[in-house]
Amino acid sequence: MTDTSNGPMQSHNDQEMAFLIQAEIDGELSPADAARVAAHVAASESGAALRAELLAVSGRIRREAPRFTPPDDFADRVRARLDAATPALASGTGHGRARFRLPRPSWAVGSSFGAGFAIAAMLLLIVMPPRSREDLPGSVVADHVRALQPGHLLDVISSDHHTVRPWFDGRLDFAPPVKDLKEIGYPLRGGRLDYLVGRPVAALVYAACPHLIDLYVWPAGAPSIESSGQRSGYNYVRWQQDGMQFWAVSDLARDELATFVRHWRTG
Amino acid sequence: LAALPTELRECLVLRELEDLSYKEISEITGSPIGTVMSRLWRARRSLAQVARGSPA
Repeated sequence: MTDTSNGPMQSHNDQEMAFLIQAEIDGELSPADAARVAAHVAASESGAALRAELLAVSGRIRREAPRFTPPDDFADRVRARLDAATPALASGTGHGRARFRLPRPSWAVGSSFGAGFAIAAMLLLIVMPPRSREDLPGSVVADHVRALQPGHLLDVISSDHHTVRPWFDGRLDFAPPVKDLKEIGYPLRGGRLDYLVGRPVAALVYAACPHLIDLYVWPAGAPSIESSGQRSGYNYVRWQQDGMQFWAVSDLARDELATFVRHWRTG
Repeated sequence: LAALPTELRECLVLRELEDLSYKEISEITGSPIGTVMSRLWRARRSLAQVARGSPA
């Protein structure tokens, strides 16, 4: 793959793959397309380098860019000013809801970007919206299967939970609990950032030789009971603990995965 | 980030700091999803070039 920053010299296939790699790290691809990208990245040095560079840029922005937290009354103040400025919209008689837009300068589209836009438009056919919560078991298992593709499993490789946990700082708006269960046969392999239920989540990877277990973690929403099941031959167990939602997914047998979960919960 | 053109910075901030999907960014900015993808790409490439020490 050639450098995709200079349009005239690159092929459309290269730029299409570059956009696909970007969409993959943004969690916008279906499992099948993500697997296709993973296969390409595994076989292409330049593709792997591009993916690494995009991840590095993403990680640096998330770690270093200043974040603005509005004061508690910010929304009320904006609504009040909006009501005063646009009484028709505020009273519900307008034709659409009010929408904030950041000021943007006019932008003349250069011809060098024309091909990019065309390719991006084609890619829309394969960029998927986040799956619905109703299909969450399917989404989690599909993500687990996708992660098993070469180059997808780990963003941070370490058996030290003191290394893995800080790696998520700046990448997530919560601190996932990380445990190492090496002494009882489930060594920590590392972690990665994933995208589920419309939000970034932590994925912790444990070995259960010769199997792998993905443990997904994100802040719990509505209370839910512990449950387990199977999708496409993979078993899962989900539960809530200490304000977090957990999903363990693996090709381990159902009772073996339940044993891991029991150890993790009490470890 | 501050040196990026506004339309690129807007998409990048919504994606990286607000964790919005392409579809959500498209709705907020009023731009087609293909344009969102293209702007994200250009923004990231610009920052990557700056990080490498070459002109964006």
